[in-house]
Amino acid sequence: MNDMSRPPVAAPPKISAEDVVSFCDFFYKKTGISMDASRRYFIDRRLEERMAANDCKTFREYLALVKFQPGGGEMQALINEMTVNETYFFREDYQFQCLTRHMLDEIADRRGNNRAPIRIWSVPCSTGEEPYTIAISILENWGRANDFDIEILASDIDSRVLGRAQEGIYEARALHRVPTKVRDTYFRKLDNDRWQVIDDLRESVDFSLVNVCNPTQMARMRGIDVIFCRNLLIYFDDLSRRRAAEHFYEALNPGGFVALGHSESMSRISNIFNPRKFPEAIVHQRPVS
Amino acid sequence: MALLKAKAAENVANPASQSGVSPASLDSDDPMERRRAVQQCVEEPNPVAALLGLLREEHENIVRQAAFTELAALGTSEAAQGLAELLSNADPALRNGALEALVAMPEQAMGLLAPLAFCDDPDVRIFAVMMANELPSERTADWLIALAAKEQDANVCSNLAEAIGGTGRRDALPVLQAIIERFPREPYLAFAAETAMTRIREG
Ligand SMILES: C[S@@+](CC[C@H](N)C(=O)[O-])C[C@H]1O[C@@H](n2cnc3c(N)ncnc32)[C@H](O)[C@@H]1O
Repeated sequence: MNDMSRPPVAAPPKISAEDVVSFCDFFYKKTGISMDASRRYFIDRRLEERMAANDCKTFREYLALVKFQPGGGEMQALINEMTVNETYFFREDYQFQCLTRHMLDEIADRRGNNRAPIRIWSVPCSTGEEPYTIAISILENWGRANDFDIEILASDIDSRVLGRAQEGIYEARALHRVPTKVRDTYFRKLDNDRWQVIDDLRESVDFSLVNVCNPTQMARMRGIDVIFCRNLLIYFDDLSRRRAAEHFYEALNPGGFVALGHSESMSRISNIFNPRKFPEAIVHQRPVS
Repeated sequence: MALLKAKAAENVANPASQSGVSPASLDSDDPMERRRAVQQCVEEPNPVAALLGLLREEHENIVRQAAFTELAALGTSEAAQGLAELLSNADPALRNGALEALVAMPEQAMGLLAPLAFCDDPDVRIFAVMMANELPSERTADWLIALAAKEQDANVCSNLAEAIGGTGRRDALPVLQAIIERFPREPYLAFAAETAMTRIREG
């Protein structure tokens, strides 16, 4: 059979260099995530998949769908494809020690007789390992937990990971950093390979879809005492980082704390927070007055 | 295990406190309200002038930082130009803030490097070097090396040596050697240049 007689094979939709630039620009404005040409292969593949899924012949057609589709379903699907969701239980656990040994006591002392709830926000929370770690750390290690109402909020821009976080089902190997006693207290075994966070704990975490670059969504988050924002700002450029820092400032109560990932440095982003050096970690505090 | 409560998001949602809902005043005594007013400034016909004027009068850091962020977000050459002018302001907090805001608008900041090299004030040239250091690229490395080849101020040269050390560019070695020879009576400068040369050779 010669080439001419082959049935035509649908060529993958073509995405040009300019298309990628305009896509990155659009995606950055929506999410704060700055992607450069070094991730071209990754970007192209995801875009091609989404274009095929929507039967779009040209990139322009697809971009129009993403931008103007009522309800924004395709935008959400695209975000879910493009995010890096890696996370694990007790990641950088010195920060949780810092929380239960120092930050919470300081917040509780400042409350005095005011028994307003203490609010902790894990953003981004990805598949839930971080907020559950926070909850477990408090229950296990903070002696005054019973004296306060504690609310744990957890948010991400990716709706798919939020669903998984709420479900709270993890493979056995995802729990390798979790001590056996803790595992047996806060998880129940589903089968040989999977464990689920117990209902009480799952129901105590409030999961919500939040894009930290969206001012309207961020304006809903107020009265927070501690924000864990770890391994997000590395994907942002300087301007989005500054903006995120400003949103966090407003979301926090005076004296509230932000904890960033170990490779993220607030001093390079903004000077609106005061660095607080605790034995376990440096965190960033909104000035008390 | 009754200590953890759900439904937190509804508790926190308080539309009345949403920023940008009611117009805020720059004359308010409350810095948070002035900050909100700054964020609304961008709606004005000439936001760059308004924000720069405000920066010169406002002393509260949190308000100033919001103005810097808005200028960086505007990202225009006019905003960059205005920020560059603050690099020679007497107030170090304004100089630093301007530098950070410029770094957050890398395209515009790169465009400013060439003219800043000709500024008479050595302090401004130091800021320009610090800015180039925060914008690593071949273009900024070229700029640093070209400035180092002719710079006559010892303090600027010491900043240049440090920044050039981070570029890893071997063609900068003769330029660094020339700095040592240009300032025979400044041992700290020789030290800075030699450290940079070692970094490059070992890098
Ligand atoms: C690497 S995970 C970090 C999870 C966890 N904080 C940790 O450190 O293990 C990054 C998460 O950031 C989320 N993300 C990316 N851009 C975001 C945005 N603009 N707003 C909220 N979440 C975002 C992604 O969906 C992803 O789940």
